[in-house]
Amino acid sequence: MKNLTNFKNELARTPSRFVLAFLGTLVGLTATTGARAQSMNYGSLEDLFGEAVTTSATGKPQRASEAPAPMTIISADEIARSGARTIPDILNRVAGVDVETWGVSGADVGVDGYNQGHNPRLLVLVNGRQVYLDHYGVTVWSAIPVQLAEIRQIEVVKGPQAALFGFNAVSGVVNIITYNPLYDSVGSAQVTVGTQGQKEVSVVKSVKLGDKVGVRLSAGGWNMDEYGTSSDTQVRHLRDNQSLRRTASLDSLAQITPNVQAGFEGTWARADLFEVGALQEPHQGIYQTHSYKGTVKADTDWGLIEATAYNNHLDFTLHYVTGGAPGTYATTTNTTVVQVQDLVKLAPTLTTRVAMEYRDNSIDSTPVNNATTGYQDFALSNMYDWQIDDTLSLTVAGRWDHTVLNHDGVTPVPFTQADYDRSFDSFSYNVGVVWRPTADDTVTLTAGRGIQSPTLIELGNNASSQPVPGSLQITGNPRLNPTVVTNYEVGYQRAVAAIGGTAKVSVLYQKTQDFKAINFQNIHVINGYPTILLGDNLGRSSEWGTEVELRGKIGAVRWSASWDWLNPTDDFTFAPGTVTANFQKSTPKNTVRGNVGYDFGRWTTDLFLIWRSDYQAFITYAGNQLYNVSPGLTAQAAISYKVSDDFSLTLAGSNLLQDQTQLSVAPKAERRVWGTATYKF
Amino acid sequence: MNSMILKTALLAAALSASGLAGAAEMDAKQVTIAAKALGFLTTKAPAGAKVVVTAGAAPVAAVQAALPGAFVAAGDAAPGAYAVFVSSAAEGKKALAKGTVTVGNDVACVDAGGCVIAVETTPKVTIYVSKAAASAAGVEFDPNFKMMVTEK
Repeated sequence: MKNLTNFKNELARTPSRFVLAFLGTLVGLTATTGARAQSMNYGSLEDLFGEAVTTSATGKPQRASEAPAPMTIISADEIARSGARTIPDILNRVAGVDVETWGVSGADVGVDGYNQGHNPRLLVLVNGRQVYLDHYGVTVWSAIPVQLAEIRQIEVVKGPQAALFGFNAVSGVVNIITYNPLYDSVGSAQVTVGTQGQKEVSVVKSVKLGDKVGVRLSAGGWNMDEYGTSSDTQVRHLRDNQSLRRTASLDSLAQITPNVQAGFEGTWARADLFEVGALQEPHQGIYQTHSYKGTVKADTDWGLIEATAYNNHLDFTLHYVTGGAPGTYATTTNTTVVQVQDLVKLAPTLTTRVAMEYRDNSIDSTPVNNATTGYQDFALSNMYDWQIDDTLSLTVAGRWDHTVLNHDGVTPVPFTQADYDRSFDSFSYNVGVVWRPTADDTVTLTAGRGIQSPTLIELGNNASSQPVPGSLQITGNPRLNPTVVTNYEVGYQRAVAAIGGTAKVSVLYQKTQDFKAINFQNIHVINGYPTILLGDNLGRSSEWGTEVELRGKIGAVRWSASWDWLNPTDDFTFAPGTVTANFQKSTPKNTVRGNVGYDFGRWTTDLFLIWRSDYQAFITYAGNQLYNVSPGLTAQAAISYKVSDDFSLTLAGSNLLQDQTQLSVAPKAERRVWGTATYKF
Repeated sequence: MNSMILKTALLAAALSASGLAGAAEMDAKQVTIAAKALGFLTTKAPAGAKVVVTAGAAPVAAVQAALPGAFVAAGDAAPGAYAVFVSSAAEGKKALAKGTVTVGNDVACVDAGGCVIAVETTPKVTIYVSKAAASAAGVEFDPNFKMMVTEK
């Protein structure tokens, strides 16, 4: 254990040196095997097969239409046509995805319901690197260090995918795939000006250094005024600050030998925004992240081997108001992940993936410093993909995780060090059957079990070494169990020539066990201290859902329409209203979306409409109370004019139907309009 | 070059018109897909690589359009060709040689080990690769490509 701690500390001090040394060692090892290697060329494979390709369902490259998982892929063209400037605005268009918008940039994204402030059920990745933040298991979308112009596609996988991706892939996975620095050439500069004082700049450029090294650089940022729609003095105080975003990233890939590729990525981001937190409290979050990642891929006689190591660092500060007085909560987290996988085609119809993962994360204690809490996780996973015949395929994947808690530094109170000398094992799986009885029909059956690990806040970091005996403690809980989500889904898709597209329908049943939340109902007495636990297992919930989608293109007119129905039933161990969770009421039962676009000459147009049924949600202004939310019908639209092959102008807007729209339980959103000039070089 | 293309195109057209061409001649879409599949060979085609199209295998003009950097000619398989488009397994076996990739649109050609690559475009793009033929030709494909094709 001490060696692991030393390893972690060394990595935290010099992550870039570690990654480079790691890469060098692996390159040296693999280069002697005489193997062959390529990272996946998404563009060429998509061009060859005539549809999007992905690795997000099984880890194996495959066509989107053959993936044994409910999946939607959003292309770069769709992103550009939408006129959207944030990733949640793009995801909002996907059937089954629920976006709760808190401010001009703050938002939480859920898949198949259960969405609320600081949603911890979604795994978000950029090229396989997690960008959700371990403190609350939450994704701060504006802190993702990616410019929209460098995104090749966004892959949304619905349902648990933990057997492939590990912890937190319980309601779904959003994998953001950027252009490859070695294969793709991209250059874009964008300037956006809009209402709410919006000023935004974004630059992306890839550079080839000879034939064997490619680098992609990106940077960007915005300033926007938060909505001025609240009369509540607390919220006005928190919204007085601007939404700010600054990001920079460098991604590189080198062909070391004909058989080996190595890549390095470094990122930095700063995001200030108004949002709703895990207690469903409004606050202003200030996030600063940086990351380093190294990857080596080698095509060997033993398969396509990939080794990845990365380190994510987060400094965050939350400004909130409680009882009329401002408060601040700030600390730091560190996450290190090392992954090795081997993808082997055992036979022409049988592929397997064997993977190992080591994960180490920690959070610094606050308000008393010099203690850290976290866990180390050791995981093994295995996937088999069997093409039984031309019409039938079966995918089975399993993953075992062994998790060891850590607490270093001052004695944790009210718990003891013995409480942190704990480990637990968890198992996740995915099974998928894809049957294509005809060229036009596809039936998909999937089952998955995912593990939602305790977050670092839930495990406890409020170290207080000398509390007054018998005083109230508010702390994390090392005895907390992970939440387990199991999902069963049946889907049917048919190509319909009459609409120039496809029709899809699916039905799901999902169970959530050992639901985790902050327990304000019961004050536990632990070692003589009355204690409010920041993480406690509080029962279970189940959900039925269905989704219908039509999508097509007739001439120059693109269109889609979808309807989601979700019906959760909670079976929690707390009295309603004592804990800020009530998914029966806070999940919108019906969502209807429509999208139509028409391209003519140099013009591109796009109109997106979304209607959500009324629901109720918590926001903790003063106590726990459910508030009615009636989002109704809202609209986004964009029109673009291509001035030349390299230069285009876009006018876009959101929340267009009313001056002010109740998008979520947060104070209303204002109508927004912005213009973007794009120059490609 | 242009006169050569013209001649080969005329030759292919004449063959086709005389009924000598096989019923399974690759269409332009299949040729395009096959050319893209060749791009996943780990050894890329050099500029001016020689590509041969046997009688009835494919429209020569379509092959030239799909492989603009190659020197495409109609005729029998010739030593040193980078790729040969063939119309049957027998032709494929005859043309297969070290460094020469045989291409067709008949799965039976792949099954027989005569074609390294066979392509189908309906109802969807499907690519078949013969491991034995690829080994005989001494060629390798991108590993991600191999995961997405049907190997025989």
